[in-house]
Amino acid sequence: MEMKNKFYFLIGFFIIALSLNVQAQVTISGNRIFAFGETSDLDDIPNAIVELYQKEEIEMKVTDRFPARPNYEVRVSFGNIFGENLKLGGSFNYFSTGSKITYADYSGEINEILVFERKSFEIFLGQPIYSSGNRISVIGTISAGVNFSTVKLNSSLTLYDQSAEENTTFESQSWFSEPALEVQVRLFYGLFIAGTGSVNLNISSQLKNDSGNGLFNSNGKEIQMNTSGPRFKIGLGYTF
Amino acid sequence: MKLNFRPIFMLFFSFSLSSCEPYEPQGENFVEVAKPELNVGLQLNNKNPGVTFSIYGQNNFTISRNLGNKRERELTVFVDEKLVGDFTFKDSFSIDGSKLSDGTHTIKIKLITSTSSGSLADKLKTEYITYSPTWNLMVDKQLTGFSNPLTYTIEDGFLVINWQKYSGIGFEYYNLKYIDVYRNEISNRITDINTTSFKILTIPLNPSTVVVELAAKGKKVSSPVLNVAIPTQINLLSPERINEQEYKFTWSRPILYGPISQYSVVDQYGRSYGNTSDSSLTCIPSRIGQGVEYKIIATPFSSNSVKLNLGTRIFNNFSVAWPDEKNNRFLHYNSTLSTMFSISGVDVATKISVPQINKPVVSQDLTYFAGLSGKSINGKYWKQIDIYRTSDFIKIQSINLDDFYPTIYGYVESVMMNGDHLVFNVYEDDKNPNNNDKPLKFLGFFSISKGKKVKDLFYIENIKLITADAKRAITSSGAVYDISGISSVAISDVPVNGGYLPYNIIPNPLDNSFIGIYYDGKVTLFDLAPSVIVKSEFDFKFPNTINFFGLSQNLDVAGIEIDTRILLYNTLSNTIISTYSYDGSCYLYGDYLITSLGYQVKWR
Repeated sequence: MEMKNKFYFLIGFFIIALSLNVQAQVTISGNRIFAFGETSDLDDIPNAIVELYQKEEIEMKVTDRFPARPNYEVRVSFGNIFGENLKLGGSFNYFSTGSKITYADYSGEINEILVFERKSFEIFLGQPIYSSGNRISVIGTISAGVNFSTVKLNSSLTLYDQSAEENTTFESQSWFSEPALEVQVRLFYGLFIAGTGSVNLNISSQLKNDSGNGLFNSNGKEIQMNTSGPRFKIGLGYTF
Repeated sequence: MKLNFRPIFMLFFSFSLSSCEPYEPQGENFVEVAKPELNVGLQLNNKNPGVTFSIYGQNNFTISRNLGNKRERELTVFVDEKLVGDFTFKDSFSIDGSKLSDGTHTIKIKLITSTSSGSLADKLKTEYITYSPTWNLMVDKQLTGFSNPLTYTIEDGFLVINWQKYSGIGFEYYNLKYIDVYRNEISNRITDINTTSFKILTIPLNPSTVVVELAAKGKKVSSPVLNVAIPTQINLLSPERINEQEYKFTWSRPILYGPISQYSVVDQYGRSYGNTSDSSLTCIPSRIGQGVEYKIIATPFSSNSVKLNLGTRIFNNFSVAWPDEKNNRFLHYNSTLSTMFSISGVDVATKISVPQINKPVVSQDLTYFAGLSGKSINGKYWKQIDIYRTSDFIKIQSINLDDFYPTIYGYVESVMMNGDHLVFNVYEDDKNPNNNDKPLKFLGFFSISKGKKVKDLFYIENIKLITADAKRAITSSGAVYDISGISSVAISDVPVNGGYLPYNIIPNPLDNSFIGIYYDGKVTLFDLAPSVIVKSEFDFKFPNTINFFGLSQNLDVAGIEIDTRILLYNTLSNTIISTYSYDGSCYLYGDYLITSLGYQVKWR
């Protein structure tokens, strides 16, 4: 069993085991994440591809360059497990963007399509550090998780009535930790809105294909995936 | 509070999974690129597709391509659709005609090139153009004879040779040869294979033997020899007494190479007995039977209207003279074209020898002729120009290069007479001790005018010196020296650094023009009187005419001699329509460029 599948299995087992503990106070929430520099490492790839084709005098154009897209997170936490206030939880975060480098004329076309996907899993511990009655609470959390990043490169060439296609996948796994401060404002019943500020501390790793060959930019520098940086989240949750 | 969380988790995970759609990058980059055009030029032996080649045995073909910016990818040759071989990037191939059956075959060249359109497929070297022109290949290994006899007619004083069209296949041209009693051989190449007659414009001596030779690559077929006793004399046929006083003279029409305006009958004292355009005259001669000699004089219509082949013949009351360049001598026949007769009818024809001069020329008014003599120190070149009076062949003047350029190691070539001007080229002698290892250089050409101060002598009042930088000097006239004394021209005024001077100049006896032919193939038209003026300069072309001529450009090491061919071009298609042998001398006569072999090229 691959490491990624092992991790999925452990996370699933963990959540199901906790959910069966009916004594636990369960909170679920969803966040929109605003991260900075998430895909800056990938920007070198379209440039490297353009330069590669320029050597063949083909003027490729980057028509889509890893646009910033909505980044959502689902969180589940369980209170009253180890103590009255301590929360234990996990989250799942999926992000995808991409880039297209293309050229076409009457005789055919070339497309180099890059699709980036990142799946992040984390486990966190939370401790309320401030509470204003039952309405506002400030929770400090510390988390640890892993990013599974994938860059799929689809290269296609069409000349008149003939075409060819090639797919290459580059992957990387990297561990991260993210201390955060979350402010929850309870609205009514268990419903609350939350704002979170955090700093993602990521140990970067190189994108590699199945053969272990890594991605390099045109200057020969390794292309690393690194999500380190400040983050802000805003979301909605419910405490049962 | 007890809750069953499973549906809630199911809901969350469903939501999570539904948002896990990979992103699909967007955008188009369609570039407008012009589609490729077929503009490839391909020739075999400089012949465009569709041309017929005749071969018998081994035949070499030269491929020439004009691909523009396209790249050659493949070139294969087929004979009758069978692959001969791959000649990609090669310029020649051979076909053995002996292995082909008699008849017509095809040569197909399949040329595949890149399109160079700049499209994606072109850049990836997968877009190309296929061009498959064909040529015809005629094979006739059986020698077909030329069995039909030649005939001749005389039209307007010209000898016309007639034959029937050759029935065999696979020949490119007729070669008409005629040989005079002195074994001088003159050839005319007739490239129009549908031609069945040829008007001889050069001077056939009496008698001439005419041979039509069919020439083609690999074999020659000659016609039976035609012996022609050319009637170059006026033969008195019938001095017939009509009555007591009147006599009727009837004579045959001589070949005079042009129309005759009139005949006149005169006696030895110059008394005329009448003129006629017919071949007979009835008159009352005096002293018939008294021993008085009479002659019939045929006068050419007009020297300007006669299309002479050499431009150097003299029509001077039955005297004719012309240069025999092959043997470097000057031939003169006196009374050749007339019949001196008395009543008893005795023909007289006298051959007179004249001084041995080289490259003789005749002045426009027929008064003088000149030639080269006097070898240089090394015995290799001519240093002197001798000028003779045609009426009595007395040398009236000699001009030696050493007389006025004693320190120049030069020699004279291509002396020309043009009206009152004597024009000649001067080259640097390769034995110049200061210039041992250098190739021959052209020093300039000189025009000497017949001055007014000394009657009948060529007085050198102007030396028109065109420097080696001729293009600039001629147009700016900066190199025209007007001197009163020859010695005032300093040696330093004569540049010797070679360049663009015409290697040959050709005067036109009719209109004071002449052309200069340069090493680099340029032809320039000059007007010689009153001074050297460039009228126009052409790059192998004479505008406003259908055809133009040029000289092939193959130069030898010294850069002076050119390949011995004159190429006649069609200005519309820019293709060569005729190729003429060129023996180094040619002449302008009115609108015609005429070689010493007799070819005429209408050049304006």
